Amino acid sequence: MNKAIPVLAVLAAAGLAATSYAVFTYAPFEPVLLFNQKIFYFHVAHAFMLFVAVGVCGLCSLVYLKKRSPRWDDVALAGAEVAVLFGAAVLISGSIWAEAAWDKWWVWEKRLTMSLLLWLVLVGYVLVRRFAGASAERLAAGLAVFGTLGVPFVYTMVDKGDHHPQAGRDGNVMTLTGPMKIVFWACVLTFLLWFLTLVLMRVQSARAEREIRELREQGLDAGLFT
Amino acid sequence: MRTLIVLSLVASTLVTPSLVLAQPAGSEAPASESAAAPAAPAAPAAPAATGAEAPAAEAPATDAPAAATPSTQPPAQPPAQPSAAVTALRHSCEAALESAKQAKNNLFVIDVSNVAAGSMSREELAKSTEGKLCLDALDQDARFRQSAAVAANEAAANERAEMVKKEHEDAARAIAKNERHVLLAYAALWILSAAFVIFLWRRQQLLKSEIAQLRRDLEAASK
Repeated sequence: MNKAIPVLAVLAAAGLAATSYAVFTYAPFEPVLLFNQKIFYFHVAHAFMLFVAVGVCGLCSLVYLKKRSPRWDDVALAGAEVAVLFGAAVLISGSIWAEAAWDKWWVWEKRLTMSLLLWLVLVGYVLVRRFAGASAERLAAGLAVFGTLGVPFVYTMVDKGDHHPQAGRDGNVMTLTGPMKIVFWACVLTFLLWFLTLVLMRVQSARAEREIRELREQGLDAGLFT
Repeated sequence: MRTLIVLSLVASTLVTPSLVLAQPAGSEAPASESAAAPAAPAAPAAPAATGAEAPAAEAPATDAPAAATPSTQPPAQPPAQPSAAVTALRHSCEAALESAKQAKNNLFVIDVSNVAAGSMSREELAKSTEGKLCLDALDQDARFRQSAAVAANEAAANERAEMVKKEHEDAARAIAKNERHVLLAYAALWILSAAFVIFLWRRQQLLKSEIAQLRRDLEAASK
């Protein structure tokens, strides 16, 4: 894992540079959403990674609840914290886009509201892990499973009556064509690498924290610490 | 030639009221036909003389019935025709305006129009010879002043339309190429990611040093 992190980080950094360049030079100008549409490539890629991170967190939490293995809990915690990061990025970039397109920083439409609720559940997970004490892992794992159920709602919360910009046919990014499609999926791949880098880094930290707890217990058992 | 025209006009003005008065009541139509008959040769004669001077020649003819005042129904008053001197003044001003247009001195043209429309004071225009000339023309020729005022209003309307069009085009360009918000969004994403990486890296370093310290303490205690 220690060797994989720098490799993934370098690949992700190269991808970030390349996709940033491609978004502004290779991707075509979108005539309906205009130049603001350039936000779409990173904004939606971040949203995809938010879903992946929440999925990882929920799945690992479920396995942890079943097996009670701390390895799964470490990955769940890493997934939740990275999901909070990606969720914040989605909400901030979306808010800036809303201000540019609608002259409002926030609109209480379905997808935005559901995204905010999902992000708040994830923030709740992190707070439970930080302050809930001895049973924090199990409480947080339950919350993560609950939060994961919100992902399909967020993804499908766009219909014709909604103001949310729709990429591709009927809001389906799978139907993007030409250079737009290439750039978008390159962004998704880049942020997948970035997501893996961050999760591995966070798992490394979680394991280090666990090691510290074990060392302290050894010290307490040996009567070294009070 | 001019004397002949004037004489014919004077004759027609004298003859016309007497014919109208001599006509019995209820037969005005033939009287008007007969009145037109002697005047007819005089009217085409005026433009034939000198094109620019025609209105000057017509002026006494229009004033004549009013002077005679014998008619029970005076004919409708046409607008006063400018005299030859006023027309010449107007032509001089128009020539000055034309040369200003050719010299791309639109300010002078706009000033003349605005003074005519009453939307600008006269002092600025009176500073130049051409300006004084045009002021005189505006003062003495009501038709010229009116047409210049209309031109001023049209120019102002065109200017306003151009400004609105330009503002719309600027706004459309700004919306179409909204660099500020796009850069702001990308900056926010990069800053968030960078901050998170720095946070993770620093925490990892602290954890590593804490692990090393604990191990040293445990080893020291075990010895």
